[in-house]
Amino acid sequence: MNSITAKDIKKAGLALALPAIVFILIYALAPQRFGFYNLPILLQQAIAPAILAWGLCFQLKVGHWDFSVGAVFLLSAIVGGNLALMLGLGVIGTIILCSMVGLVLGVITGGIYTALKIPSIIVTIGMMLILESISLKVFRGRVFFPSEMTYLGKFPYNVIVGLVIFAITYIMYNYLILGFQVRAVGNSPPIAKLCGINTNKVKFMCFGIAGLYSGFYAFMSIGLTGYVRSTTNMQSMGIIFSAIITAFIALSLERIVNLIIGVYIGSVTIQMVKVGMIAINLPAILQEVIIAVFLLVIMGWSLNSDVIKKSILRLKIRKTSTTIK
Amino acid sequence: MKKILIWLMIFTISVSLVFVGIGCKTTTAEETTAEETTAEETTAEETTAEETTAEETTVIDVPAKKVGIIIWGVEDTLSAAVKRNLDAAAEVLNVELVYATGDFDSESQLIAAENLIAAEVDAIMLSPMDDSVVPRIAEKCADANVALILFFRDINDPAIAAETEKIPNYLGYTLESEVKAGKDMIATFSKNGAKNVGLITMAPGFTVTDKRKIGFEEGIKEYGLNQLAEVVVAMADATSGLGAKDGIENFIATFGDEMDCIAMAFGEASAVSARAVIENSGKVGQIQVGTLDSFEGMATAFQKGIFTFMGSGTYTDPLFSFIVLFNYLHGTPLTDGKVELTQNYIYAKSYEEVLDFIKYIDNKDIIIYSPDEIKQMAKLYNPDFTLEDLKKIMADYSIEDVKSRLQ
Repeated sequence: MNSITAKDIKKAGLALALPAIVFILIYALAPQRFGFYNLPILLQQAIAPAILAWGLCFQLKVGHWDFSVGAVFLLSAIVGGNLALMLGLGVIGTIILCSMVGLVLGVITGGIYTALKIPSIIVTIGMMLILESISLKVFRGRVFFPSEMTYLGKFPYNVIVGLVIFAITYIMYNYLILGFQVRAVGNSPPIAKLCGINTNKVKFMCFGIAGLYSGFYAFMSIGLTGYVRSTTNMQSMGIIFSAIITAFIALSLERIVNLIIGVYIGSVTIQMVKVGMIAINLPAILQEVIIAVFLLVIMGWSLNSDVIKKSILRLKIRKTSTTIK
Repeated sequence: MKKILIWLMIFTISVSLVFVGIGCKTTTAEETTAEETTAEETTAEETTAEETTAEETTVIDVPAKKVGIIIWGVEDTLSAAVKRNLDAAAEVLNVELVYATGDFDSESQLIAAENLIAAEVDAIMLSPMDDSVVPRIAEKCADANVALILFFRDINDPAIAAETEKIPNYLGYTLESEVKAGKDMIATFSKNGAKNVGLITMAPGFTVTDKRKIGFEEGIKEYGLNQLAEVVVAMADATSGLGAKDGIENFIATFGDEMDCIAMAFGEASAVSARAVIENSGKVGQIQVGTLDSFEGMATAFQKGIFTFMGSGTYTDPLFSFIVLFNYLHGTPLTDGKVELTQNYIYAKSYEEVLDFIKYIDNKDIIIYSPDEIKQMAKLYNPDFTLEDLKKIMADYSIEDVKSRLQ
């Protein structure tokens, strides 16, 4: 059995440095309004966006842009949730049906992508428009659960669901052949192909996974609010905004922490930033700017960290040589 | 294994499609809240004016007209109610309505207007997404001798408004007083003893919520409340309510007992979330919430004292624009100038008022004005009808007004 090394501890520390720095910064700016008491809620709020981001990660890893996950989520919630209510299947039925519908929609999108060989961005935008229109028509375009059926969003059920989905995702990404194949295709599709990996099959399956996780997000969302309604005009893209940012943060942290863990860390960090803006009472107009700037700083640091390290090293060498003189 | 997976996929898709088909065709009651059965039961989708009143509806030989309506959709609660009431009025007044829906930007709305003009409409009713499209559509209408009137919106930009008002055939607008509604919500909170408010608003750029926010801010200043924080929710978050849910949870975590009221610039999913959060956090009775949209489960929310203010029911706004338009088209305009009509919201501030709202306003089986009442608004039937009479009808519009006319 591998023992935890000092390197592992250092990596864990580095990964947690990001939310820690944000926490300290917000606390310094608004000590009366922010503290450790915010953490329990933050950790729970981070679960739902992390679920969607986990599914998106598989897509981003193989080089896909998937703008349809928001529309898949809407249709999964509306169809799955209403079917469960209609058939009297309760919360368990909702979980199964939402997941199934999400999976099917993801598979359909993947099938279209594979068959027609159109870039993923075009396929998913097309599917988004189609699915949004369908979501408007079926079951009057919304699902409403009575409050006694929305306990999935409450503690400890939300945490249990989050842990189960985390475990599934972690095992799938790190221990199953699919996970290895996803990483191989993501690193270099031609080399993966040369190694005998069916890259088209892997990409197709990533669509299915993204759809499945949109289904997970659907029943989680129903559990949290009890209500989901359709939207049109590409507004479902806005639903996945937080998940995309979270996924990008996780990809930035991938060098120091496992991607799946990184997603949750990213989600917690984003939620912390949102709370921080409330605590500091930041004007509304700046709130979206702050989130975008935060993302740019993280991505910029991650992608240019080698350059930054080399510059710092050069400065140190110059200083040392000056001292020696 | 592959074959099993393929067959499983085919089976799953087939079953899902069958159920989706069932879902599309379902017209029987399937709502889940018990206390709102009067509003939630679904009967036949279309109800004509004749089914709600005892009088026979006879159409006098009124020359037929054709009116195009550019609106975002006709399926959501608000637009479905708009369509229901407009269709009933159009049937009485021998007007053919052509709906152009699904256009959410200026260019699409301009194209929709061009298509309607090509379809030889006599007039266009427009709910513009942006000020800039109004003069462009007005010019096209003027060139084609088609009348134009706005509903649900005015023109915010003074320069654009001035330019548009010079264009012939542009008749004016009907608009809710969003600013007043926002202010009245804060006034209600203040009357109930609240001191510290949190705002849930939408990203700037959407005129309706922008104006509601102005109303909140004016109300906060006038009634001496203290704004503790604001959460801006993206338009997309309004579909699931997660943005509002997280925002209110963070309000509670950050401000504890200090925050005693929350003003929401929009409702539906976000209001449903708000109710769930307040209930789950044990803050019922400590934080009062207000919204400017109706929402599922609102009766329960008021009964438990979670919500203390709801403003909605402005379904008749387009109807009043339609009345102005109809009179103009038949050579009997209500005014020589442009109309600037203000539609008041219907407020519900208690459980009983919400039940009345659901029964009399938010009810698919009710047409707000009977065929005879619609005819009385047309100078062809009632030569003495004036713009002032129309304004009085609009000012009288309330739950009590609808109740008294239906009973």
